[in-house]
Amino acid sequence: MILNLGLALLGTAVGIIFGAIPGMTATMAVAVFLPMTYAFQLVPALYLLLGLYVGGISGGLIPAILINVPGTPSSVCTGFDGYPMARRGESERALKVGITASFLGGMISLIVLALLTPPLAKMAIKFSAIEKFLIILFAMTVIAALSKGSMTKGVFSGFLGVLLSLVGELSMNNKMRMVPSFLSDELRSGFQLLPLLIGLFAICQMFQEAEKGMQSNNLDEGVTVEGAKKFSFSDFKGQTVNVIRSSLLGTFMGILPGVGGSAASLIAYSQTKSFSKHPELMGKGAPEGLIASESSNNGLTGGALVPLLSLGIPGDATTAVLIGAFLLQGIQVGPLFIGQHPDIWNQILLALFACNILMFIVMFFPIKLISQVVKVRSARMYPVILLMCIVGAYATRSGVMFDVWCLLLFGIVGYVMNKIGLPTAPFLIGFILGGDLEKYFIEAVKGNN
Amino acid sequence: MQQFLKEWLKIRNMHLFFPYLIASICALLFVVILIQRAIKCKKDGTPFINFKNYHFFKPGYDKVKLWGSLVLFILYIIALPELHFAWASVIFIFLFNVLFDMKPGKLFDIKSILISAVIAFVGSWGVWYLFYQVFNITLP
Repeated sequence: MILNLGLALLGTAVGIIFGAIPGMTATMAVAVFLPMTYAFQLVPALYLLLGLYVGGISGGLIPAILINVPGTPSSVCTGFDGYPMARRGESERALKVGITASFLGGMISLIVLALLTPPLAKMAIKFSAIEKFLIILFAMTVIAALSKGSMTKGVFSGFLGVLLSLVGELSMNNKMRMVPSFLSDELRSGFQLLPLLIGLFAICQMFQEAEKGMQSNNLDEGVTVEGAKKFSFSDFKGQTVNVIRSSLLGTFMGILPGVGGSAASLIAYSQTKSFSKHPELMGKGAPEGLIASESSNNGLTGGALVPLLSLGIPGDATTAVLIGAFLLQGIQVGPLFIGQHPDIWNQILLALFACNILMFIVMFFPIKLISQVVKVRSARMYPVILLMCIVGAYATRSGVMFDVWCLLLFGIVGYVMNKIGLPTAPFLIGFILGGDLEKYFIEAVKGNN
Repeated sequence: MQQFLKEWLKIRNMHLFFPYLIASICALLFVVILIQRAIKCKKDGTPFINFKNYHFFKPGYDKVKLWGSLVLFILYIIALPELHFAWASVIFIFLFNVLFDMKPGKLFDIKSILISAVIAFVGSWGVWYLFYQVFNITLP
């Protein structure tokens, strides 16, 4: 238990750093640290990865408030009110309001996760191959439709991911497809998930930041963490409905596959503005806007785990990466997961609970120290991240250099996809679900015949 | 239709059916994207292919850092099996640090180079120790 809590603390602290550096995301944090989990069993690995997830989502509020640049896409609305608060000398108050809202959002989503996942999984056990095929297809359509950019491009990207997942040998007849003869050994089991996802989310980001010149962030003049107006829990007076509504909105947005934290944050913010007694103050430094944004994006964390653990469908890009941890341990997530592994299911709930509490402790009390994280220069972080990525890719199949080349290849693929407006999240989710999609399709058609 | 599916899903052809199906869907979607673009361009009165105003890279992008990172990455992968993981990493992580921290007009900043060297040495040997010695993970 001490090891688990230690890993959760490490994950949360590192996740906050990743979240607080603009350009680095929770997804990237989980992807980069996934190789570390080779050394652990699933439960300690999940404590680490969920810590990174919760910390990564929460850390995004720091630069959003202090420099008006969201650290992660899910903090996009946090700066609307957080930054004006910081400008008028209320940085500490804004940060603490955001952290408390994040904590509450995380806890509410945890309750929904605990209550909703078992009945959903129970229902999904009864599904036949046709229904499973249709659910995956439906999930992919939703992912694509709600991904940024045009819907057609999202669907296209998802199907490209499916196509890529089909490379290699089909176990049903042991025949290879889409593999050039000179790569028949390396690609017998297809492209590996880990190099693909690290390439798409870490290496691609490194190229993007290199293109921008690895700029560093500085606090604006007049913005200091110490301020005249201090935080008090009475800031949440009259905000109960806002917290619950925004957290639940975030959670249910998380349940819909592929929606992402930015959409959850935007919807919760606009809802709060509609119901606000003083909508004219929103965007000018009203704590209720900050509360809406932060409680909704942390609400997403539990929500995104619901389809993952009940149906085997990742709710967002980060949970898609989490699948990697389960696959490494040979555990299939899906309708049978809770029934077959009740101990792991309970540990996931406990881990999420612990990570939210740790996130609150790590961010709330040493706020002045934590806020310095925005000054960490990405120019110094990326080379070390690259090192971790290389280790992760190489160790995927215990020492295949081809996987390291794939890391570079998918880094370039992700970079080009971003340039031409093809979203990468549907591509990754298509790649993860492609194998199952084919399996259920064949089973469904054969059954019908 | 049933006969067609039966023929395709015979054990010898099974591996090809789904890839063909998905590739066809991708081709169809690609055509739809092109049509959508053609309609949008017609509406806006802009040319379908506009190479003149198209910029793949951001205007004024940092050529040295972008292309430098790509070249260094390729050389790093080539060097990994040739040298020991930690030594190859010390060299290339140092070069990445120098490249990423490079400021225009200030190529040789001694302080920056020293910090790069420390990060490269500590980072590379630290990762090697953690993954190889502690976690027992195979490294190049």
